[in-house]
Amino acid sequence: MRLRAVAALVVAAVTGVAALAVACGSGGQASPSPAASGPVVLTVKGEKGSRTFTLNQLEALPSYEGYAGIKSSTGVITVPSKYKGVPLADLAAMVGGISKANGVTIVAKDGYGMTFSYRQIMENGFTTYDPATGAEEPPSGKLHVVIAYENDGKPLGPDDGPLKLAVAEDTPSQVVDGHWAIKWLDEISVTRASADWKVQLQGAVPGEITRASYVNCASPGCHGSGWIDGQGRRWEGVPLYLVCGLVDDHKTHDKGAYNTRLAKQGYPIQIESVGGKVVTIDSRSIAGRDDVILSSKLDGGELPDEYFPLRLVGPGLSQAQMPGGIARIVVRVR
Amino acid sequence: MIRVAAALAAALCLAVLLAGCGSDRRQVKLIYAGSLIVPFDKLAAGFEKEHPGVDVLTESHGSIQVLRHVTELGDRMDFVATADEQLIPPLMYDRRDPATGRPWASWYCTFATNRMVLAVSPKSPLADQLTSKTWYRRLIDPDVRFGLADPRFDAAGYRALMVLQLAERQYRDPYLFEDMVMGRFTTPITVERSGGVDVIEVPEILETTPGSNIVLRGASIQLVALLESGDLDCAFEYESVARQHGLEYVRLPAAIDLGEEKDRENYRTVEVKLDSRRFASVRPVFRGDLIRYAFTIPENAPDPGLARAFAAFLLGPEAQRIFAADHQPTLTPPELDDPGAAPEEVRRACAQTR
Repeated sequence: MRLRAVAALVVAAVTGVAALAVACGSGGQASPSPAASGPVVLTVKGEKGSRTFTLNQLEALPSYEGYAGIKSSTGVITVPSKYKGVPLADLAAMVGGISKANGVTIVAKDGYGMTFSYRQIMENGFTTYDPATGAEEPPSGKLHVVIAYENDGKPLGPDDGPLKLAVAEDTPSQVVDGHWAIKWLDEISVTRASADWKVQLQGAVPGEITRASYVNCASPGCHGSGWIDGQGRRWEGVPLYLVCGLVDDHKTHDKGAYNTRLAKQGYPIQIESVGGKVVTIDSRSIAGRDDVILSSKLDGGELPDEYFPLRLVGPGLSQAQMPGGIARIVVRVR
Repeated sequence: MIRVAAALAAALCLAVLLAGCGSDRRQVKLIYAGSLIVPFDKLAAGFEKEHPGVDVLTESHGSIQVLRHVTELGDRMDFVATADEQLIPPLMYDRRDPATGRPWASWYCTFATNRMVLAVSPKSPLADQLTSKTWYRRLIDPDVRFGLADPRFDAAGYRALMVLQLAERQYRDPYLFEDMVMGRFTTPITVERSGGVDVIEVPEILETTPGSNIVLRGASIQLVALLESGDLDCAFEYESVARQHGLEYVRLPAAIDLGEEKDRENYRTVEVKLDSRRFASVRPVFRGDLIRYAFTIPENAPDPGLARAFAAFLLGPEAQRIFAADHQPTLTPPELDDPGAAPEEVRRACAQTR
């Protein structure tokens, strides 16, 4: 028989079975001890500092109560039961909030950590299953990601508490994958897109540009260039054709790194953004042009979140051809 | 339906508890990789038949999670089997049971192998277009929905990424990997070359884009149901799992399927690095290698005698018949990484399995 199945079934079983278990000394579950009131049980870190909470402080916050259950990686269902806790989004809001540029990392006392996306926390971004059949089905209602401190009206015990992440909803009609249900939870970190960014390059040879290398390369005495758009904003960075020169053939640096002959023959340059959007530019349209740049600065400062870390800009490009959030550039030379 | 399940649950619990009351039955607790579920269900039944008075309790997860249950979650297990032998030394040898101060294990036995295949849905209208010569071009087609186990959770997931990167060289298409994944994930999976090794970097948040033709699930076993229902055209699976579920599949070239000893060096030219801190104890870097399953007996096994007996049973002729019937290839002879540390029963069983 399956241990987890039995564990889940015990939850669902009638009181008499539990009583019998105790009576025959086979190890019925001990009732959970009351949660401690004094010690810090949760640390929440974000862009605007960090906060710590005792259990009492968490219990005093506005709460959500709903049903959560899980499906293990091998299909064993733990049927939904009632959880009460504080919505993760509310806690994140206390340290600066979350946006699509953020991830939220949850860490447990044993070191287990999972990072949740904005879509998961705010937009039902979980795969959901029918708890009776285990079959996948779309979410039937709003899913709430909560930091739970109570299950079926009782404080969470040492087996998974005092805090546990639960993906709950108003009715006991669905479950989510078990790896999202983090027990012994003790820290939440709201993280921005990495400050030490890296953009992957692929061409005749692989390459990459990092924040450090780009800052050097984009300096005015090196390959730095700029363009002022129709609104008078100054974009600064490195011409796209020079970046292509890093990977368009096996000569990756110094004079002649950019292969003009290949560029004039034409090859597609694919620029992929965070979010999965891909824009394709023809090499002939940017060959040798200092004003079509991968910008890392706007009016002397960092790019705003929507464009961070790099945005392609330049005269003659439509808005759709100026992607931000660039994560990968593929130079398709043959 | 839930009520029916709950009633059955109550009845089952009652039966279990009554069986345990006042009896001197022994239990052996097994925890193993999800891809071993089918043969291990039969092994458990076979062992119980050979050992009246013994109950075999079974539990399965992704391989990393299997080991973590023993070393981090405090579950006392008698027998542990993982789909990736590489996981045992860092997770069990290099870490110590705080209760005893001793490592969680000191030996392992490699007993089975496998290979990656592209399993095809019987309901897919594209099934006849997915062949060993065309599969890698067809997966780029946005109309072909293919399934991938999440590499953050499942060894089959990081192994599927290795297959895709190895395919790039196999088919001499330098943009193959990018074509497979580009625009499919909200944060890209990237590849960089370091010291002759292609390092595939998996971002911390791995989500497919709306309309992506890649379907990501937490475990490869979850993809089987989607193949059977026709929600997927194809998915990367272990060959044994595809055959156990009666799925057609595309056999991949040996140079990329992680199943041939002679291609082991080639497999080692890829690596998957997780940009994640999922486990405190796991350095999330996985080197390409032959797929090799291994088992061990934890130092804190509740009934080590019974665990050794099960290990010997697993290496014996009855178990070999079960594995063969379930298309799970075994390693003959099995290999002990440190014969001096392994129990006598296991050494003897290894020697007899030839």
